[in-house]
Amino acid sequence: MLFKTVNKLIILVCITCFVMADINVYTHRHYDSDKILFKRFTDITGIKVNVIKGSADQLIQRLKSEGKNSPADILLTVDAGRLVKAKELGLLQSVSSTKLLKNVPEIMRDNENQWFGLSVRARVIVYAKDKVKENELSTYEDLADPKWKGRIVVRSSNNIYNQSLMASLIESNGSENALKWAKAIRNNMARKPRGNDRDQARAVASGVADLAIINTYYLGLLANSSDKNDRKVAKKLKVFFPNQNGRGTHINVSGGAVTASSKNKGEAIRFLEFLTENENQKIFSESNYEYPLDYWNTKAKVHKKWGKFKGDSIHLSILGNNNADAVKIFDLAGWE
Amino acid sequence: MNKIYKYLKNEFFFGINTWNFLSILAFLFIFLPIFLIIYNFNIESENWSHIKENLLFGYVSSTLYLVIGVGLMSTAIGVGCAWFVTCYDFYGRKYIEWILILPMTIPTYIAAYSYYDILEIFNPFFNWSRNNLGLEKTIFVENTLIYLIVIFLFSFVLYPYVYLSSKASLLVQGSRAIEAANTLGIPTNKLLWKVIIPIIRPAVIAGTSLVIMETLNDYAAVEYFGISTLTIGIFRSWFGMYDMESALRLSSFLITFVFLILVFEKFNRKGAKYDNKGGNNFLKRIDIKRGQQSFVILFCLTPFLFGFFIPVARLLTWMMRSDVNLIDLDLVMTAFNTVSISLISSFIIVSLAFFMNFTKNYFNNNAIKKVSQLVILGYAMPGAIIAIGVLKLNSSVNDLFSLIIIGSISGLIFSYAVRFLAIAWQPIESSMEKLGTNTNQASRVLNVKPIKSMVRINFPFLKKPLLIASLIVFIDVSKELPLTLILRPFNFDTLATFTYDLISQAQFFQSSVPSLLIIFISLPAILVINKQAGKKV
Amino acid sequence: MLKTKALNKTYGNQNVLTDFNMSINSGDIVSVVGSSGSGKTTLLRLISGLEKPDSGQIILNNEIVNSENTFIIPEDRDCSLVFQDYALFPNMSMRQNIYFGKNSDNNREKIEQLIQLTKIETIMDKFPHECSGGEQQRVALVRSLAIDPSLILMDEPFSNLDANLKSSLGSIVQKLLKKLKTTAIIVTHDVIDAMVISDRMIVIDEGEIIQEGIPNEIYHNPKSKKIALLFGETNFIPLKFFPGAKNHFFDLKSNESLISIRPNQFRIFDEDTISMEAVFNGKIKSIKKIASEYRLELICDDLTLNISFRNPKKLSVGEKLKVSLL
Repeated sequence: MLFKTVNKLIILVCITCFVMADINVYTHRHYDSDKILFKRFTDITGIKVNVIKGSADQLIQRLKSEGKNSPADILLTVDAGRLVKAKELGLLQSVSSTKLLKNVPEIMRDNENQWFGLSVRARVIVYAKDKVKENELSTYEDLADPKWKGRIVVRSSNNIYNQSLMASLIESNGSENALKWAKAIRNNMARKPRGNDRDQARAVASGVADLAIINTYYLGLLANSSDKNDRKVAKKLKVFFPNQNGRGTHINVSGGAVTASSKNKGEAIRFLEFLTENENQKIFSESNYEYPLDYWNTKAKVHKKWGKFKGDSIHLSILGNNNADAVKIFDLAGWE
Repeated sequence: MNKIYKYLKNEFFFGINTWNFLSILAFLFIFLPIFLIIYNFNIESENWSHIKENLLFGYVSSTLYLVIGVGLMSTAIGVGCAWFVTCYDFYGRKYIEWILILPMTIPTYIAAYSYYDILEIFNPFFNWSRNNLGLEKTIFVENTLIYLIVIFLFSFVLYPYVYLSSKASLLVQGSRAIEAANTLGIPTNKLLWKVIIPIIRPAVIAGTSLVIMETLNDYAAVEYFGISTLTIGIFRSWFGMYDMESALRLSSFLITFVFLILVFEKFNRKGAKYDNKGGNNFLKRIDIKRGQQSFVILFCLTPFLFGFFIPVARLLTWMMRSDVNLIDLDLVMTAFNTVSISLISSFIIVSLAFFMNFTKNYFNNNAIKKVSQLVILGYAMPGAIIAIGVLKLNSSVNDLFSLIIIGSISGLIFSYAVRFLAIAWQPIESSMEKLGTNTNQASRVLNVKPIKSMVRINFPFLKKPLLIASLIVFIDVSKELPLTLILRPFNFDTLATFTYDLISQAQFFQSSVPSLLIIFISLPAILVINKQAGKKV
Repeated sequence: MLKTKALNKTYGNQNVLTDFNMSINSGDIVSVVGSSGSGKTTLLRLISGLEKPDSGQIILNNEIVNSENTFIIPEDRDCSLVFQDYALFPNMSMRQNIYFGKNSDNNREKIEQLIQLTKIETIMDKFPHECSGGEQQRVALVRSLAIDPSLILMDEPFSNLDANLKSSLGSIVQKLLKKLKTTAIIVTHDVIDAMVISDRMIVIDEGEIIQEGIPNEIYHNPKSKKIALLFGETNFIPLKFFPGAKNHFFDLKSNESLISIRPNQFRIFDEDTISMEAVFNGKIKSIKKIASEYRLELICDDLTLNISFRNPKKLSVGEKLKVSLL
């Protein structure tokens, strides 16, 4: 009895999903910018956007377990690595869209057009103006130098942003050097990793450490926070883009993909295209302080203040491929 | 062989009827996700040796520190407060008695983030210490401090489990012992250690094991404070290395932890079964001197202060400073969603537990008796692991029937049932034991239908435990985070997921509103539980 | 009306009933007597269907209710069971308890009559915990009779009652059952209860019937030491002392035929009357006065007799005494 009713309910839910020309989005992005973007999309196209928010990893597991019956059309993540993983698991499908090809730089999309970057974030060094001179800073690799002993704070290696940074270091310097680097950084830390990027910025502002490795948009959020303590923190800090004389600063994308199970492929592609359009790219920057896909052309005020930078040019799918190795290296280095 | 056949014949083939069949079916269905988790414990993956060599020790030891610390401290607070409140008379006792349970309304993750910047208080010290004592010592002190803070934090929020169970036990059994001891002229100190503690020990251990399970369940707070517990490790291998097998293997360690605690509790309880007879005469409370009074009051107010007052006060100030519109449609919808899904789940889960317990008792069904001991596993495992199990079940069902069970309200309620059946089960089961098996058998030989016995005898008899079970499930569902987060339908938010969402964007001010709502929704339920638990059976 | 064929039941490794065969006629009141642990309660639970035998058949009213491939659930068996602890429903008044069973509402007239016969009218609105054991016992009995069963099973119905209540309730129950012509099986460890109430008695030990028959007959002619002892203190005297006595049994242990003689079946031998009966000539070892009774131990060669007298002459320890049978 119970089982039957449950089945009926499920079938009902599924049917409603199929019939309406909505698109169903699994997203890791939990920003206000997305609310604005989704609403704009619905206003313009008349297509309703249904959302389940969760961590990308869990959403991927969910997609996997739902298989071809999944109601999801779109998967949005906050890094490229997860998209690579989803592709490996066969959860995504290739799409052909000249608009996407045109709007998304080649290193920021899958070579089989299964996923596309939508906004860019750079992992940079922020430092206390009064403790560090700009000319003391140069590269990520330089932070391993003993002169930084007890002066660095970074968040835990559980975090995907750190894992992606490590993946890029493995690519550029090899696993052995990457491990040496991680060990040295762990030694230079002013404290055991804890808290999120924002807490690292706070730690630097309060004098616990002299510099931190964080994503740029966190600084933007702090600078524009409604809490005046946050704004104070932002004022004390400065951004430094590492490796400008070499391969460039580590960048990553928040990206999207059409799921293999999508029943509304047309609408789903339309949705991705929409997010890469110029006016909407602006919303990513203005509301969430992320860089647009053409980050070198950014018009946002915050970004201008930080200055232009050169981004690492490795293909972002490498971040995904090296992810598991990155985690292991962190483990070996004792970087919690 | 013959024996097995005999057993099966007696317990199943003859005993089978709609009731037994449905009960066992429901149980199997609910147990499936847990079974799938346990089934996968044995699969060894390539990363396992890496985890074993480099991480396992750290995970296990930090989990142990935390569990031991929180266990000891919450027990000390819980038993201490229960002892003072039941056996002494002091100013404001009546109020203190019930405000002490309020921290129960605060989920650990909300408590943790209300203290998110607590370590900043120590920054001046750290800066000084780094210059004067050196980096190594400072880091060591800071690490120790973090453990202490997390242990304090968890203990101040979770001690009510110990407080409630030891208070009930003191009321029922302690009063007689205290009276007997008083007539013998035993001094109070000796009374506490030699008489009271041994008597209430099973109740204390029951409460403490709940505290420990809650501690193991936590992900958000330990993640934030950078403590790598087993739960963190499970997520790290599942998501960092995409290695579900290793994640499940790690969770087997967690289960072992819990299992040991449970065995310990069972073992303990065997020696001293709850005795609810007698103890009807109210205890004559001990009067104390002024100086001692202020100590007692301070002792009882401290956990309330840190476990409820400060978090709520902080949330309230954040709410003042946030620009959230209280009648915001999203917020209202979310609150409505939370209340309604908690009510429905609580109704379904408690009905199920009642139905299964009735079947077990009425038909004296050994099969259900045996399997029902496994129910506790759902609560013992962290919610996130249950989520893995439900996802695994989902893919198996999907492969077989091309049908998905998650992503609907019924799927969500199902997963709540997997997790929370145990907490509905226990109060119902223990009251059912009080009813005894003869009562139901008496109705059987009077040739009435089982349903009549259920409705006319069992339901009225169990009204109170059913109410308490429903309220506890209600509170737990309304706080539930990991299962809801991953298994919910589209556009569906509960206050817990809403809060989590805002916290992950570090919008502390805004997140205060849903957090406060979670707390205020469970407040009335907590008050009813307290009132009922205070009454004598 | 009730037949059991080769019933077997074990708990773990312990045999509770072994090849148990029993047959009961309609309208009989049968008592099943045995020491505790002899399998009496299990027998009732098997008949009522609360438990299943490992093998064997139970036939009730010519219907097989239990066999290798049938099992009729207790709800559908035409029999009712009165529990030892009465098992009244704690949340219901006595009236609600009585009117709980199947079809009891259609039986109103008869039930009210039963209530009057058992004198429980005054407690009908009380709850079980407000009533005495005797009252609860009668309510439990009426509740079971209310469904008009053709067989009623009673498990130690009088064990929780004091002696006074026992005998008065015993006869009430017996009259009631006879009046209703209900067949009954009463399980008890107390033979006196059994003798008061039953037409027929079955003695069981370790799951087997060791004797059955009319109570008085068993009392006078027990088939073993054990059965004789069920009825209280007794003396086992070898048959050779009473050649030609009818009621004797062969005891395997001592390998001789014995006669059971109760302590109160002796009298002081009257030298004046000449008779053919056996005379025991012995020496008094001890005298105890219990209530109005004198108990003596009399040593006659290798026999020690336990004897009780109501009004003895003045006797003292060490004195010689001759006794014969009444």
